[in-house]
Amino acid sequence: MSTGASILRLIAAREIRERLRTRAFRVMTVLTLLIVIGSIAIPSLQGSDPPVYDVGLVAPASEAIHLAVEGIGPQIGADVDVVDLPDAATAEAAVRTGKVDVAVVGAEQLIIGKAIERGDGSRRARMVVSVAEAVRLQVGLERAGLQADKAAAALASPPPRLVAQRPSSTDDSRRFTALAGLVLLYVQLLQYGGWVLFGVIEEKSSRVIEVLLSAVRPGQLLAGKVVGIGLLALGHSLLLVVAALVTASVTGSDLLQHTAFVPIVTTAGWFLLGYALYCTLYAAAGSLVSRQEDAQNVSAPLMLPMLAAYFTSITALTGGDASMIVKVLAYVPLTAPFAMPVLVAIGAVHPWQVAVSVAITLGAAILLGRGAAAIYSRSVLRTGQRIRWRDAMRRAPAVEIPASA
Amino acid sequence: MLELDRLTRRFGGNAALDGFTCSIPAGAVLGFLGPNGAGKTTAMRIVMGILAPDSGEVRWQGRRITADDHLRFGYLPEERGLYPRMIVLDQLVYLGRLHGMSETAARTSATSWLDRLGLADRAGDNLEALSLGNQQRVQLAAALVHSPDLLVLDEPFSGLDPVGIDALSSVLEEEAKRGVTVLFSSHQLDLVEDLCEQVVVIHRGRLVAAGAVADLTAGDGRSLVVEVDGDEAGTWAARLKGVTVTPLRGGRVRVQLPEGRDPETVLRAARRGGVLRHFEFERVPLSQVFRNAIAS
Repeated sequence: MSTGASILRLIAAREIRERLRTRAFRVMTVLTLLIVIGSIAIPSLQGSDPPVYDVGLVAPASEAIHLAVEGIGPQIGADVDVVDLPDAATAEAAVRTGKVDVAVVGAEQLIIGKAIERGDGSRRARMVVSVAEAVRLQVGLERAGLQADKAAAALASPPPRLVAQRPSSTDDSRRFTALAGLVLLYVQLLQYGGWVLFGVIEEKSSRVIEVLLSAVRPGQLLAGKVVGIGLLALGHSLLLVVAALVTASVTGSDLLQHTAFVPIVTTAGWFLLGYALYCTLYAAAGSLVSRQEDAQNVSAPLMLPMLAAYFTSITALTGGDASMIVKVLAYVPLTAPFAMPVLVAIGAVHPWQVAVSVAITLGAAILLGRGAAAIYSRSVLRTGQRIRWRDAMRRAPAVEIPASA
Repeated sequence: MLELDRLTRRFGGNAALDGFTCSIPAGAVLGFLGPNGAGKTTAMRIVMGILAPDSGEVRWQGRRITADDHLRFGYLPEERGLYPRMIVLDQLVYLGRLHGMSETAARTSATSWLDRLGLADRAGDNLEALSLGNQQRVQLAAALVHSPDLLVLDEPFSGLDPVGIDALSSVLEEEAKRGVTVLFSSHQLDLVEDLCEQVVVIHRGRLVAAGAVADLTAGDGRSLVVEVDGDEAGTWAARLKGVTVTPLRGGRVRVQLPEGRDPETVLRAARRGGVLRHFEFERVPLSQVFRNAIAS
């Protein structure tokens, strides 16, 4: 006779086999792969040539100023070309028409197009500031009596190298991995949670459920479905991650060197927890209705925590600063898989806090999983009208609608 | 032997089963009769382990039924349904495997049932591509694929055309010959009369009649149906004392005998009256047995 494990394997294998057969799955997989590969390959292909800035120098300008301005290129990671301009009026026109990005008029004036805000960290802003600084120093040193070539030599020595003892709390690589994990979790939960939901509804609406339940228990059916679709989700996600890493290494994107092994593993861990939590609940939701049209209504309560956690976490991640809300959500089971990895990435929590969050989420996953299985068992044979969550949570079904007798 | 012992099951305030008890001998074909809402489907679901009774128990071969026993049962639910977008053969193999068969055994059995039911050329199609009648056949194959020891069929004949009815009847007869116990519900009493040795009648969740079809439909031996050629009114019986003659359709008459009268005298009178075409002890139709049972 079949053991529980072999039944589970049979059910999970059917889920995987049937999904792989569908066109929708193949199209979706190819599409997401293209998006991931494209979003890495295209910027890195474009970004392989450093930007070029044209700096206009109004005559008379010393050779040393020329050299000093050209020398800022390596500092800001761009090429700087110097253009000689006859007078201030030509310089203004050159900036206006975009022939040059900056025009240096003697030691007193830099003409730029669009104004630069305080705190602007863009490459253009850094270029403008660097040009101003170079002119100020060169002219200052010359005025202080230093020969122009001596002054240039004095300025040519590279700045000291920074040796950091701890990584920055807004480490790009960790933030990037957390962001990728967040988006992946959100997108995959929507996709595969939807499959669990509609898979359960399909079994109810097609009435195959009664044939299945004459051979297996509701809990086995639920577990097999969640595991099977979960393996697909995991496989699909792994495929995307591998595609991203391979694309990055082939195109020489700097993404690869930033992606550490540990953040990927922890992100995967949170991914699994989040999937287990949501998909058992999606299955319970599916068991409450018998028609595809009711899917939206019954799954809406699950969308709320997911959306709230996703958007607050994204905001925290891009801002580099955790709001109180995110700090609270990091300990709430349904939102922790989104919020906690973000707090980790921006360095806002201690390891013990992560452990507490994991323990809470894991405990909740087990409890909710059991609850969902109970709701599923009670509701899956009841067809017809939509069953309310509240009624399904009660121990005994209020009404059962038998087929006819 | 399948025994249903004092099964009770309530839904809200309604008792679908109220101490229902019956037993089915191994290898018998049993018709499960009852008006709509009598509790037939609930009883069948409890036998299949899909529903749990509030009280009472089901026994199979003398022991309380287990999950492993359920794997040896085949079920055709009243609400038919399989995976619409799954390939017919894959579906049957999957169901066979859920019942504990190996991949090879399930494939062999599924293929032979599809062959037997005339669906060999549709084995590779999605179920939803088949006509409703053919989907019904696949559903039957799904109940049979794992060679069950007990078949529980809820309204198996509903929705079938006469050809389908004949096909299903012959499958049931063969399965019974193989030693399979068959329990099926139906409102088509003529079919039940043809197929079943035994019937059980359930009404409002209780057993109201049970027994061999032959016993239940046997009359009291004092009602005869006679046809004498050319004598539609039964004038040949006019000289018999104490009998009541009622004309029936098709030139026949019903002859009701008084207590103590020998049917032999009626036979002789009929022979004298003309060419005797028909003479039998009248049986009670199963529909009448059914009506009497639920009226009591």
